[in-house]
Amino acid sequence: MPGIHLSQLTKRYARGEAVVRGVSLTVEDGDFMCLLGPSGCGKTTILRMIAGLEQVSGGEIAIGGRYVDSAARGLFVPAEKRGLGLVFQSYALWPHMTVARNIDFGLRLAKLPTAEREARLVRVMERLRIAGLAERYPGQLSGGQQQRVALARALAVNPGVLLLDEPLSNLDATLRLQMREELSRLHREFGTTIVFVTHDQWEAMTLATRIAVMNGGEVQQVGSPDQIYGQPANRFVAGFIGSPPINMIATGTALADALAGLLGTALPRAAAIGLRPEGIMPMAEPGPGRIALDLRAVLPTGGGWIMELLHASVEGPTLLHAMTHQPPPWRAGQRLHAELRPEALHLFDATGQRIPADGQTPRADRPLAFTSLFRN
Amino acid sequence: MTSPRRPGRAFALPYRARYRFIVYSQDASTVLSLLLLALFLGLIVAPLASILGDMITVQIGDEARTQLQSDALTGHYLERVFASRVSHILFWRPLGNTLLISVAATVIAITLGTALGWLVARSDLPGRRWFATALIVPYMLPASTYALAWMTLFKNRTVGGQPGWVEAMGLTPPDWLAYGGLPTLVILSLHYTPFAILLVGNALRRIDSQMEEAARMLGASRMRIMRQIVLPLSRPALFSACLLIFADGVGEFSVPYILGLPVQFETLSTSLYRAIGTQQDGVAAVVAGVIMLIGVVTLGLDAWMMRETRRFATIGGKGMTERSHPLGRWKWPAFALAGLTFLLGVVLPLGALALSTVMKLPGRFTPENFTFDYWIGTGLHTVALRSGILLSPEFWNALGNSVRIVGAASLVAGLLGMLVGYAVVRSPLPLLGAALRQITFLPYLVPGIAFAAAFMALFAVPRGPLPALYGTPMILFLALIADQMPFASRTGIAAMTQLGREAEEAGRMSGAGWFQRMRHIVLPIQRGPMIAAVLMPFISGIKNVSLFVILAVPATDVLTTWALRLVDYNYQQAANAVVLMIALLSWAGTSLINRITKTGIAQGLES
Repeated sequence: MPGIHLSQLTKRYARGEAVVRGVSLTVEDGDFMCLLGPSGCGKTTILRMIAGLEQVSGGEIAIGGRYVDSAARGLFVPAEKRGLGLVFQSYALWPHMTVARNIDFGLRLAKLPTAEREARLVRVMERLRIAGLAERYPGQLSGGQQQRVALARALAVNPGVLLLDEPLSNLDATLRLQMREELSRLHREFGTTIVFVTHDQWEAMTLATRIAVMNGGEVQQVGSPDQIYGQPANRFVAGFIGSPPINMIATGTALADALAGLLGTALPRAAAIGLRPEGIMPMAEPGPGRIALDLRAVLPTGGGWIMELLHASVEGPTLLHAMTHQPPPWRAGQRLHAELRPEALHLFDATGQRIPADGQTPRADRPLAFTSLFRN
Repeated sequence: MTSPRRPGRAFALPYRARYRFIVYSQDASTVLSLLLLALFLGLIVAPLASILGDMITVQIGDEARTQLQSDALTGHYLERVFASRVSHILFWRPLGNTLLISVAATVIAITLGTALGWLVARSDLPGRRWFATALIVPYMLPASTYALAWMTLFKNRTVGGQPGWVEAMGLTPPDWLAYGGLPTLVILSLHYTPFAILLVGNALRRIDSQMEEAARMLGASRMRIMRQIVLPLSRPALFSACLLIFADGVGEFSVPYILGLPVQFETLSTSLYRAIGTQQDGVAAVVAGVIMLIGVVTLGLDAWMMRETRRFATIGGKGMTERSHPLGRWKWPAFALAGLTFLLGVVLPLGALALSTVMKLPGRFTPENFTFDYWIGTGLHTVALRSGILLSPEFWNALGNSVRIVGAASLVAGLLGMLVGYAVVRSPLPLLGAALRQITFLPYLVPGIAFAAAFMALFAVPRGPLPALYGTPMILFLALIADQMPFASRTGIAAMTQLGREAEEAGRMSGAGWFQRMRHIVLPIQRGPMIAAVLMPFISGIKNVSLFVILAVPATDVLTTWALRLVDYNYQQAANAVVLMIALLSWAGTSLINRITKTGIAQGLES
């Protein structure tokens, strides 16, 4: 079955730097895999190489156990022979064909009998709820409709793998939510292996079963959405995922020392401590293990409140962001005392790599037992 | 899956080569680019190289004069053109005339065109929408229309045949008014004014009114705003229009040919024509080379200036507003200027031409003098052409040739243009794409008459497997294709750039191979631009004179050359009728294009 295996994948454009550097990644059959990263990190290039629209500069791609692109073996299967589905970010619907013709195009090329073609056309259009649009032209459709047509076009031929390039980025907020549900439903119903690319962490977290976080042409971490958020493998992943972003506290500052004091242990190798905003729980009264912070401002975000907190020290104040879902009863300027949730703390060494708790390698299947860090 | 061992180093190269081969062969654009490159090397570069070579090699028939073998190197032709007893007649005076006429016509056309362009684009001129179209008409008509109209009005007794209207009414126009430099200048000025209106008008339309208002808020007077805001902002367009008009003027052939002949008024293009007509191929090559040089320098200057000005491109704010300026008491004088231009540029010449074709004797407005014989008469008492043109086989033959040759060439040019666009945009080898882009643009730098001479130089004699093509429709066909490539390829490149890759990639994902993608996706999407890329060359080809006048023979007469032949034989009414038909075709075609595609006339008419 069509799992995708990338090994040591490299892409270098003429006289340029490599945009993809030695990426190895396995997408299991039935995975809903997301390539997540900032723009320019090489994620779309990888998707296009899987599709066969770009050639690898080094490394190999195998789909369903068959090499489709390997310079070292002299093997290359062009896009039109790979039998994959790709939904473009711009949808790339052909403006001179009706919706039905757009979807039918691949079926015609597959030389299916007419009855079969019509049956499939009707079925896929019903599935995607665009049955009434058959005779319209793409120019007459709304963005959401266009995207369904693009999806229908890719799905009509029953591709083994469906590739999606920024599937939700061109939709407005309501449609995004709706399409997100539909994509999840499609993944369940069709059981197709799906690989999609996005720079939007919300899109990645809500859709994917597994996420590969990328930066600078390299994979930073692969894991389930919970793993990526709960156990970031390095400073980049920790900083890229989460909104408001994680608080990074350099070691050697008064705040870091205070945290270390809290933890009751020196932080030998740690170069930075990450602290998730929702792990800071400010309270009015001081108490054991609480850190004194001054409230600077409260910013409502609709569903929650971001608090700007200052930690005063001799080097000057350090700004921390905290997130709560209860309206904070305090006013700006008030002194608060924050309790920290241990699982919100992440330690990183000088190279930016995560320092696992108790020096152990993190197990992929369960959150770290941060409580063990608190000795007192 | 298991990860098999990497193949050993010794095998790396064959695998690499095989990989390259598979990758390149899955996409036909590499092969396509190479084929197109070969085609245009033969069709465009070779003729130009050949005429440059002819400047300095002994031509067949000149062995005795130069005391050298043919094809030997010689400075004979350069000397004859630039520094001999005849070079004054052959070159220097025509050069002076050409430069004088082109510069003067440019100045007049730009001055008049800028004023009218501003009135049409930015003022409350009465009927400005109507004028915006009406004032462009002269550019849709071939320049020879005006030359013949002038002859119809002002021809005097210096030349035989029927006199002009003024002469027939008893006033003899002097030669300086009837022929030569002055009428050529007037006609070219009128002919190029619309071009200036289009270019300057478009530039003015792009200037945000808010820029002017910002100046007014700071207390600037209207004159000051004009001088310090509007003119500097439209300066690139003005310079560009100047250079394009000048370059076009240098290559203009039909007007000086028709009006210059009676008084031996020669320009470079007529001198070139005469050199070819008298089998002085070497001299022709040198004159053509000079015309080419002027063209290349001028348009090179234009390209350079465009690049310079792009640095201070107008900053496109969001709320682009366009308010028209009230003319106040200048309203009616301005209206009179526009109206007069239309009268002189359209009504008078076309009216005179049309009337002349239904009048037996010029300038006599009595009922018995009117006749439709020149259109549909039979058994006329003339030496040749004994029936009206619509009943004469020659007319239909020439029309057929025009449509057939120009039509076929335009179809091929349009399709090639699209393919060039595809190759340029998609070629995996950027150098190949750049070469194609530059080569297909080359003919634009070379005035038609010089290009025709170059074609003549290369294809008049057998070359390798090719037989001598002179006198066949084939040479016209090939020359037209080459001549029309700049427009066709620019249209193609613009269209393909806009299309982007994704529409085609979506086709690949659906399993379509290269030919299927071209047939079902790329070309159908480009239907609009493709129609423009075919129709626009068709119209410019139908009214083309300079290519045909050198490459056509009586057997391959097209409408334009037949009209010139009729002028030479003094069948004034018939010639006028034919030119009117060309004007009609050209006008109808241009309107059709504007209706089909919404591309501005400005781009199309440049070619």
